[in-house]
Amino acid sequence: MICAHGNLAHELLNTLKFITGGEGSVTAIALDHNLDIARAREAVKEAVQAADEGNKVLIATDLYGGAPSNICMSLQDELPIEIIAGVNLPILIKAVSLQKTCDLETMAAKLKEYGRENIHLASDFLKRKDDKSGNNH
Amino acid sequence: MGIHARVAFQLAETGRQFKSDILISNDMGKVDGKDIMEILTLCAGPGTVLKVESDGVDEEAAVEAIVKMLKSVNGS
Repeated sequence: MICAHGNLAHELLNTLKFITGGEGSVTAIALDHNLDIARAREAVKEAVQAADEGNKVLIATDLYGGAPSNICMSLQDELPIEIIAGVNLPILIKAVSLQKTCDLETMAAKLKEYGRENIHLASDFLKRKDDKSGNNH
Repeated sequence: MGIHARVAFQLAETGRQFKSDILISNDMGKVDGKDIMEILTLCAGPGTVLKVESDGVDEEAAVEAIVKMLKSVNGS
């Protein structure tokens, strides 16, 4: 389940579905900036209960320490969840394939590393390509 | 520009059906053919020549499936 500020969660989900052809079991919940905390907590509880297929729910939030993360973390003792904060598309794409083969704890640890490893500088690749072709900048 | 993300996902999913290791390469490098993010780093746009290698119990079927999938994307 993706949980983020504004409409980010739904936009990430739409993009994920476009890339994966709709594979995987991923949902999204938007937390409006103006939503009060009690209602936000209830909205997250309902969303988790709807998403839970009996194997706990991994919640991917946008920003550690931001309201969506804090609200989810406040529910950690009440709900069968793990939270990964700092979601990106590589994490979500990888989650679609890991869902079939991993338990949630293993998946969460792998996704944390995968999300970090797949942040790249384009100039590093361009330099690699130039080095291979004998060009120099 | 490189390969479309959707195609890269389909390619990786095709590879994951097989037990064998799969490597795909071009002049940008050699990558794990079962990982979408690695495939995307090949920047494999139209006309790029890709080399597909496989090692394992179902290596021939793996190469055949990957090549078939790439050809279907290329329209040939």
